[in-house]
Amino acid sequence: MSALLVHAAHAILAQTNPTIPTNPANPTAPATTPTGPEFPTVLLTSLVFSSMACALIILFLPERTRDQRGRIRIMGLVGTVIPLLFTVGGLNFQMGQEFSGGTISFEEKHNWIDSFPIHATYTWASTASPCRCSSSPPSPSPWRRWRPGATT
Amino acid sequence: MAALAAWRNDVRPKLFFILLLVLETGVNGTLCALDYMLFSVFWAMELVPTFLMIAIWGGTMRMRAAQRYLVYGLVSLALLLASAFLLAFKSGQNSFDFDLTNTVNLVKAISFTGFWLAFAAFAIRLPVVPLHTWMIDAVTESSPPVAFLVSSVLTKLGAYGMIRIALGAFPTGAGRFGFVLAVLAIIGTFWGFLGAVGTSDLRRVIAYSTLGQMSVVLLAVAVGQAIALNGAVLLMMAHGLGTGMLVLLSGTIEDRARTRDIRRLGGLAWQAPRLAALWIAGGFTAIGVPLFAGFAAELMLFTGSFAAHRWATLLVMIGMLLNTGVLLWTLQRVFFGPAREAFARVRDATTLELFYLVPLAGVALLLGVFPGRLLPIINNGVLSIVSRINGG
Repeated sequence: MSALLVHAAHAILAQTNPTIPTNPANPTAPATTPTGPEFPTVLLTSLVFSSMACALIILFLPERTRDQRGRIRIMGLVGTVIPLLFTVGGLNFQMGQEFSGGTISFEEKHNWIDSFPIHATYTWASTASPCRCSSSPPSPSPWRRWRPGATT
Repeated sequence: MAALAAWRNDVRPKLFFILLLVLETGVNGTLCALDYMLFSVFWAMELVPTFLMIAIWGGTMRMRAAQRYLVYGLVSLALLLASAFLLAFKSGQNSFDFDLTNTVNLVKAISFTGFWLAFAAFAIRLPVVPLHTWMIDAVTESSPPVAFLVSSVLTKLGAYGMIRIALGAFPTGAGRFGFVLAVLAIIGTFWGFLGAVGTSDLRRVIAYSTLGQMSVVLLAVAVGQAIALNGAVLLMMAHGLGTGMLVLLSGTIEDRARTRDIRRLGGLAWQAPRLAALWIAGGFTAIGVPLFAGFAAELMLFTGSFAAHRWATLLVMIGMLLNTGVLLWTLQRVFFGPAREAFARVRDATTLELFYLVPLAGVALLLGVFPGRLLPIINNGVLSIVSRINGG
């Protein structure tokens, strides 16, 4: 079952090649420093909007008879099952990556609003990005005591 | 699960499923977004479907519960947008992108202001005392599938936002006010206990127990350490499964017994042993019995928090023990004791109910036995936030 889900996830992958936008303050510099392998994907877009697509389909279904209401319920169930399959498939793939040392998070990144002084992007990722914010590595010990005075 | 739980609903099923799917889009979008504007758009997308689902399919006081949810939700959205704009303008990056704004060293005043704005936005959704009243009403007055979504999904989004944004984007503020958050966590656990003891409404007991459990997550946010935050994320999943089962089962019990007043219930295990077994599984997951998901989560969370806030951790543990006692007492009052004549014809769990409740129990057991399978993925996200807190 899990192999099937992984294959389904793979079928969704590699559909687009998202471009990483440049830093508005310095157009020549990349906005982020990729830390893992580039992995073009539309998995998260599919995951998020498949429910909405099913909702739109239901909008045009009649609900007068019992059979018609039954079809609406089945479509509703499909709309909730598809994201679940994408999630389980992606998670399964990610678990394999984690155990082999990879950090793939199915990241997608496109410019969304860039004609205003403040820019917004269409950015998805399935986990928080690995730390890109520091020259120093993360604290080696998870037991490290909280530092109330720590400044950033 | 909510779709299956609403399978028998024959009142406007088309509208219900459309709203359910729009809500699901909002939830999934919020969890995947890596841009404050995108996050806010999907955060806002959850408001209207939930409001309508409470208002249309709820109980007698549904309009009050729905309006309260909407008002609190709009305030939360306004606070979230304020913190996002503050961060975008003051970070100097002119962007809402997490990757850009979360790398900037903010001056203290901005970091503190941003932290409190973001914290308040997510404290409403978590919920944190005294901003919890919408959740109690929404869980009590909604239909079981909607109450399931509110208690198991929407409250977790508050915790997610608190960890991801309040901690991740404003680590200085989070570090400075950790003690205040710990005090709020203590108040929340005891408030949850007192609220649960003081009511005889089965659904309200579960709502107050949710308040207590979510306060434990707040303790992890107060501590801001990797092991505690890993435990908090796992606890959110465990609580979603456990409390979700309890909410759905409370709906089933109300449907069968025509009441959810605990004083009038009792001895149901004789007539409905499968419902009793499922309730026990849900309750054990929620209170953190070994082999269920809640145990590993609470163990990690308290182990991590004890080093930083010893007294707060001890007090929250006492509060959790009291909450556990209330849930066990509720189990005893609803399912055990002498069989009652009034419930002699109560049906046990149907095939459909088993179809959506048994998988929840199975996943709770699986996460309890093998939490290590999921922890590397959780830890990957948590470490990036912890490194910011530690001044990285």
